[in-house]
Amino acid sequence: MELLDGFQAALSPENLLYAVIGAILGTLIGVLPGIGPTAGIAVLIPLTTVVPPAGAIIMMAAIYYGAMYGGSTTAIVANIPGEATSVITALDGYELAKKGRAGPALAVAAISSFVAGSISLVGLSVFAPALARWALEFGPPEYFALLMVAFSLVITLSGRTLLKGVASAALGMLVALIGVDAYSGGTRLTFGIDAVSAGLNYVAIIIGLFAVGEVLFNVEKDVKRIYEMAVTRWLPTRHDLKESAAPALRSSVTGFFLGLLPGCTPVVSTMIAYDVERRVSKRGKNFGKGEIAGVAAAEGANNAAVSGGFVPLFALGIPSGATMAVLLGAFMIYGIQPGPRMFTEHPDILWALIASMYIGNVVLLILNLPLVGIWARLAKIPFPALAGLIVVFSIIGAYSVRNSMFDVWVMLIFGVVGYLMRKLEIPLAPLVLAAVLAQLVESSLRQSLATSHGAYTIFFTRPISAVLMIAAIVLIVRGVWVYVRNPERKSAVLEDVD
Amino acid sequence: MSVDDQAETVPDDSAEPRNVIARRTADIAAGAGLAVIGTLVLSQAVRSRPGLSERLDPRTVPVFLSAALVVCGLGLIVAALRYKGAGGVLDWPTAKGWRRVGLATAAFVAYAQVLVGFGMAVATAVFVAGVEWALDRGSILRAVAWGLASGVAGSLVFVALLDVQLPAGPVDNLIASLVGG
Repeated sequence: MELLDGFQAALSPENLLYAVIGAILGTLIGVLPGIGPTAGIAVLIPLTTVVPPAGAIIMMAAIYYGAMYGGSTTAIVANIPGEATSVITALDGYELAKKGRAGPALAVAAISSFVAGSISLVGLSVFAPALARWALEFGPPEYFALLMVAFSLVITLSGRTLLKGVASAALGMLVALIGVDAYSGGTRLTFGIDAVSAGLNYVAIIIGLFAVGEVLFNVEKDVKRIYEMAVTRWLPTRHDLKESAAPALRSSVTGFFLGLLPGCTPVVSTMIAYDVERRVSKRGKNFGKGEIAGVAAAEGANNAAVSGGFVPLFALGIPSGATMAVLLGAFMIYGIQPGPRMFTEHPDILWALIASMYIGNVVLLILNLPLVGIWARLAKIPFPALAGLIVVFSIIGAYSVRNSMFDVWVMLIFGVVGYLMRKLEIPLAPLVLAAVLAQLVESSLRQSLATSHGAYTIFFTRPISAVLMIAAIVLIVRGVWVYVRNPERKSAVLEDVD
Repeated sequence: MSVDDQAETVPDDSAEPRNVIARRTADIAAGAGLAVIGTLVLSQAVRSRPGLSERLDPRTVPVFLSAALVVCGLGLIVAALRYKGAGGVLDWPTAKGWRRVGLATAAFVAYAQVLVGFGMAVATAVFVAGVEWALDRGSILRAVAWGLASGVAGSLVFVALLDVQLPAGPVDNLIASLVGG
């Protein structure tokens, strides 16, 4: 019923237009070199402030899943994953493209994304409200414990970059704590600089880290023209579709359930789901060598994990990765705090958003199938022509949140920081995740301790928080144990996230 | 980074010593940097005003986090010193790469500075044209045309139509008046 109301709202000409614009912008962001979905969304957040909140949020979400669709185009056509999750798509997609089958690979990617998107949206509509109802019983101790689980997953998945991952998360939280403390009224970590007493704008920080950092990275590499492949025939054969159907369905289900885990980013979910499919599929041994079923599996898992990630975001207010953290930040700008109360306080916006995702999924299929050739051609725009524009958009984005040149300088500083972090292999995702969640972590800890009169045992005397805290501790101990035993073990996760 | 590039990061025996030194140096530098930042923040955090009645002192979380930063930094240095070379090639810039990054950063700073005085249209036109030409070294005319188009379109869309409160110069005002903004 609520979903039907959501459809009614989402199908209003105005909201439909925002969804279509968002899907097109997102696909562009995914396709164009030099800007990923995290940076793209961060840059566009301030510019959506001219749109009413419901429309802006619909547009933001459409940009996100549009970027996920678009990212696969460059991964297949040029072996350049537009965003991290498309790395897996490139394994088979690019091999197919080299055999002259880029078109069918792109079409199967689009169809598989559509199937996965549809299945996981049904899952989202069912699981998110149920989880939110359960989470309504959460008090501050449960929230704090849940946040600890999310952070401990970041640690567990860090592998060789454990220390860098933890340091990145600590930096993110510290950056978010700069300025006036809402409880005591005193300033913290300002180093006597008045301009920072209002705090650093996290949109500016994210734009700097991802957009400007990415431009600097490509400038250093002297990237010019990277997309050279022509796409002539895009229709998949009946055999292609038959081969792809089961992997797309199976990986959608696996990807969705993995996407539910807070802290388990779409990259991780896609990698695991692809690996599962490789083991299960009859043609699994050919995965990575140009297998159309591999493209279907990767894209299915990727898109299902994205929708799965919306479940903890909507139901618990916990983002599953950096891009979700940026979306969370965008919601907060519009005065909407994702979490269990969102279902009771803003059901109209929430269900309109979920309904708009169903619509966006169809819009993206329509955009992606016949326009595959156009997207591939757009991907050939030389980076030098785009570099300046990305910086212009970044500056406009950072400036317009508070109409402040100070935010522009913050963004530029964090652009250099982001570039250096990337060069030093310090993952950016924990920083963003921590920066967005820092206030929630501290306030839930404060409220918990106020309830317990300062006793930290409160986290272990309430059943849900005790289970979550023990899970967090086990995950942390396991992560540290694995690292200490083999500190040079390569992580396939956080290093690829950024 | 392309998948092919990632595949190329598998260490090869002949290049290992240089790679190991580069990675070790970079990790030591990163560790030292994190430890220094942690120490500075820690000194600042302990000097913050203590809370009066809260159960959680406002200094607690920053002190804990900055101490964690110091520990991670020092841990990274120790791990780097014990590093034996199984982590792949570090993608460190060449001197030319550093120069390009430095020049690009200077250009971004100059653009942000000029934006306030000259307004969106002029500053963007000059900046986009300059960046396009500097990175591509192709036709100056094409770069100028691209810059002009970007400047005018940027001003038209953001200043005149979307009414984003960006620094406006005389050209922006002219464009806004032409479209009735």
